[in-house]
Amino acid sequence: MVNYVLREQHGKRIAVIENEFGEIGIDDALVLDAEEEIFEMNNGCICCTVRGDLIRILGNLLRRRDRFDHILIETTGLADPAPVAQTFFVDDELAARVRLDAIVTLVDAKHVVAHLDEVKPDGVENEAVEQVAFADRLVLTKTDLVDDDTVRSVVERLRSINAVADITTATKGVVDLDAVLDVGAFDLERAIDLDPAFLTDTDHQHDETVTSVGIEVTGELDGPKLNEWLGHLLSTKGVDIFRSKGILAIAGEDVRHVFQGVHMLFDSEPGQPWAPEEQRTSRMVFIGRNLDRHELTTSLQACLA
Amino acid sequence: MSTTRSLELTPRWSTAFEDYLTVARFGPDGSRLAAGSLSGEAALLDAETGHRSALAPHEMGVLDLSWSGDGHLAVGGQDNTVRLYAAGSLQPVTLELDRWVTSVAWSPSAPQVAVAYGRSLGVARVDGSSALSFDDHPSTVEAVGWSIDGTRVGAACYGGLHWYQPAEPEATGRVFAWKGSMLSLDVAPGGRWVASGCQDASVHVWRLWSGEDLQMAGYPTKITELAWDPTGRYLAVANPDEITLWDFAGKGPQGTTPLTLAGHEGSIHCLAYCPRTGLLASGGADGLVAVWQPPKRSGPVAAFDHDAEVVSLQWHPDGGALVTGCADGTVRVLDATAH
Repeated sequence: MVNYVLREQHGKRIAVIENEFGEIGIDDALVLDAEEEIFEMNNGCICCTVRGDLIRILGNLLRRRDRFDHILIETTGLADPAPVAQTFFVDDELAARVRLDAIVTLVDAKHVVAHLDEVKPDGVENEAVEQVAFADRLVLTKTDLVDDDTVRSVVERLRSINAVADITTATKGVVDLDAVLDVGAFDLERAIDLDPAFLTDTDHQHDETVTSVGIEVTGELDGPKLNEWLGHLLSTKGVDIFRSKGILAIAGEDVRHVFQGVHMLFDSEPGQPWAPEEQRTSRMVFIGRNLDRHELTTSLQACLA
Repeated sequence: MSTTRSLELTPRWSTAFEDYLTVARFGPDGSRLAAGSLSGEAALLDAETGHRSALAPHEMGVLDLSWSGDGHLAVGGQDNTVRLYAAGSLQPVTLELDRWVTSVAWSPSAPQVAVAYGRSLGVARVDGSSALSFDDHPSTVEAVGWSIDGTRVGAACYGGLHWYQPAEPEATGRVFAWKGSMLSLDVAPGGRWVASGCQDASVHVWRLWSGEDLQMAGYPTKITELAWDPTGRYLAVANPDEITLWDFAGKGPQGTTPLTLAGHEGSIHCLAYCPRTGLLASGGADGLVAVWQPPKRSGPVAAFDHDAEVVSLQWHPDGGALVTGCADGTVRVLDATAH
């Protein structure tokens, strides 16, 4: 049953890889069915899960003469987004040929709070919380079925989990393709916009174990110390850290370093140059479980050059 | 390359398919080859002239094909079907399955073909009869292969290689286990070993049939291309732009340093040994087809440049030619002449 229609933009070549309960429809898109096949991969101290079926299906798509502008991968309602994202870090052939653009989560404005509030047995993840935490963009749907106050409180609740995702809305089951495509969330060349406003701790109404922590330090960081700390942090606490992002000032570098992580996997690249008089600051965001703001801040400060 | 060439590769003919050339293979007598493309086209091509006879297309793409020793042909596609052409016939028997057909392989001893589709391994006779399936593998079956006496057939998937006996389908299967996604399955000529490449950048080899296992790890990327030499002594592993050659003579390769064959400037997509001469050919992303003569020479003894990535490769049964398939859909036959 198609619940959401992505309004077609003229001229884009789009492939949709969907699960058997596909809910997304796009006119004129190539649609392929996938059975989510998730397996673990261990590589030294890095352990992650990947979608084996995507490696095969995307490999097949990418061999073809017809180039696609976009490939949309729709996961099942209860899916953990991590294996999909991690697949792009872990398979070298895919990493060389296709760029992960963004993780977009559709949020049902009428029902999401109930899902977020659901108490799960010990050790069982609340998938709704996970999907919100993971998103680069949250698209609120069914906003026409609730009042404005509800929309506002839903947004506030989403923000308490994920302080960095863009939030947009869709009405009557129609989502603008522009809201979903070419978001550039993993594009390390686009400056990640980390608004200092949320970098201060705020009181949360709800006892969220999944939160966003934004930290900032002034001054340049020592590259090797930073790498050692980040590597250690992500390999020991990576299971609890869903996403990490940062724009960093490294001693001896004239350019910013932009960094993105999914659990234990991370990637960094040179970014925009620092202007001569510009104050060098580093900002990082972590979205995850049981994050200790104080510990993260002092650890980052300990990396100052 | 300053190596004196003792072999020359020259084009005999070429023809173009409309998209990526998935696979091209000579039939057992070498008079024709079969080729399939992601465009969906499948055809028989005369080995001398390249003259094409169309076979039934497979919508969305041909994914694999295989010839039996008797000249039967199986073609599997993304349309969830496998077509079986009895030797000499252009009229196939079509088996409709429920998932993409990722791999097909004929038994060496009977007119029986193994077909990987989704998480199942199917076996059928060339006329489509006596069809069986072994289902519910832990993941999609990526490759299939037979023991050299044709009594067992194996499926490579997540968790290892699963073996069955088609003559006794109720018998418990054997599993050669490895906690990883196995991407290929190659039984060594002579039948002492089976090798499998893994997503976690390792190669696993099991002794047939004790199940004693060896692994070669520490490669930089996943392993999909492996080939045994015709004596079953050497295993060539492509990764990603070099070939490492492991010697299984005597006590096996444990503790040994493999030979490295370097010359490609990009990932190697296909490897093929010539059954008659023992020469090794490789084709890659750099468009190069190189011929090697390990262990004597560590550099190529011949090379030919294509203008597109080489993705499929096989020697003519008489060793005098090679067929190559490229990412742009071109099929070429190259004469391989010794000086």
